[in-house]
Amino acid sequence: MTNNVVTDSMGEIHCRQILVNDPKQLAAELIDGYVDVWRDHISRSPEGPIVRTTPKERGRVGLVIGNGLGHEPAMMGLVGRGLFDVNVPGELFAAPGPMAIAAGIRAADRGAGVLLCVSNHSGDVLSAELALRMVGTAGPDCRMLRLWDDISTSPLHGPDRRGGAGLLFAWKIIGAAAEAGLSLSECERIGVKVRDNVRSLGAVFEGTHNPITGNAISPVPDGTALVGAGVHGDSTGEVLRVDNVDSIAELLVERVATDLQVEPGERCGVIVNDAGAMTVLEVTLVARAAKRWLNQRGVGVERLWTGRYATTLATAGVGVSICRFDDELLALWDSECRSPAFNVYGENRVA
Amino acid sequence: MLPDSLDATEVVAMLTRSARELRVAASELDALDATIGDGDLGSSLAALFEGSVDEVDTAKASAGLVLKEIGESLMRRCSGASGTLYALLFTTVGAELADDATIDLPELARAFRCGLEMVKQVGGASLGDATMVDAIEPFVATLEARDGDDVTMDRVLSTAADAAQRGALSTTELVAKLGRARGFGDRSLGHVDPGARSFAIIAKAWAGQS
Repeated sequence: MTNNVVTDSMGEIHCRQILVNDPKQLAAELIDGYVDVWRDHISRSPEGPIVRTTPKERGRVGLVIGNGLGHEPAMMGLVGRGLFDVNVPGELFAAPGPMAIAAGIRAADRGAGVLLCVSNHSGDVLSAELALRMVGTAGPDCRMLRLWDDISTSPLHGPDRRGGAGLLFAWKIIGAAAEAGLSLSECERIGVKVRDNVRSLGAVFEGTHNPITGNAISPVPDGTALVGAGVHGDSTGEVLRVDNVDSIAELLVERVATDLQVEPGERCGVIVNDAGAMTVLEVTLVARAAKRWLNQRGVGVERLWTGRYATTLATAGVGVSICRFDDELLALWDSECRSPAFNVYGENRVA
Repeated sequence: MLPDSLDATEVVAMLTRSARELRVAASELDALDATIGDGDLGSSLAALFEGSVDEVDTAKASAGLVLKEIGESLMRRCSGASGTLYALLFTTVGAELADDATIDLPELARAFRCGLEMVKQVGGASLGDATMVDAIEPFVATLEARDGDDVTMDRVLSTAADAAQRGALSTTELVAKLGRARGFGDRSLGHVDPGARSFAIIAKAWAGQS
């Protein structure tokens, strides 16, 4: 049932095979294990959603998100103080159904309304819309916020673009706003502001393998990069020869910065995301090149992060994300958060 | 031969055939999905229908209740856009027919029309967008028309299943406007939409063909 070798005109392309047990039990085993490993931060509620082990104070906005599995640590690992209250896991690369999202909305309610964040993919949007109908007027005041950042998915920054790893900027900043006690409308306003100021683009150097279908995901010939590969291995199909790290890093940062129209004198944050199987060496070189490229054009890089945040199993790929910062966004980014996968330890600078 | 009035046993058999045929076609659908999506549609739908059919109480005396239960089970278990749209289709069909001990053609046509309209409204797709709607619409239209002089459940469902398959094949000439395939623009030309093909498989299983 495995097919992690693809033959094309350039010969055999190997993709890293993913080892699991019974594919039907994959979701249950992953969730069970992950929650146990990180039990100081997260727990599983009897209704199914992943919740904080120590819930947020009452009277603050609840934040919830659903997502397909295979992107760990996103999003189970982003439940915690200063981040999400609730995550609703689905199946491998498939969004949870509407009933599960509705249960997540109820679990996130701390008496000040709930913001249902959605990484803009068709299954996630559909489930969220149906969940809002199910919760109806009897449930907590809940609003849906669709977020997108992947510039390879549509030429215009809008609802035709899909969500990618750069949404970590949104998760972190909206999470800080909700933790600080801002209203539902304020959290929504800040979320829209981040979304409109963040862009991402990724490239894959070696694909992976879907342990349920047995098929290769993003097979790429050696020495080349598949540019614009999304979080499911779907891509625009643009394949480029890679000479060194700087050349691919500069290509990604240039396209992202151009799309965002970053001007000299502006400030930004940069995240270099490891799609699952890069080395620290490589992502560090990408981050270094990205910062240098921006600095050379007079753009300030206020914060620079590298890490394995949103993955596609064992894909060897990187994503470069840029968020334009103003004082408000930077302060929210710097406020404390604690979770399995993302921690900011600094002073809480949110007024 | 299907009887003109479907009872609970017959509906359970139709649903069981659907799950089995989706499993048989899982690799074919995964491969269709891999050209423009992420290549797991067949595996996902097969698992979803198998799980839901297993969960339905086959001792139910009423055909309508079986459909109501399958809809609710799909809605509890579904994941991904296609699974959720099928859950929506069958919960609507099931809610329309819940009170019926047996189901005849006009009732089946009316219930599927409601289900189709719900899928179009919530999913946002119209005929010609290269989605499952391109297979469901001709299926429903054929049930509604009940043309010809041999208007039996067996023959009309069979004709409707053929119409669903023609509708699915028509998506090769369409540019995907919705779902994950939308970003692929003209690259979706020449590909059968896997969602539409999956409905054609279900329709064929309902008609008793394999």
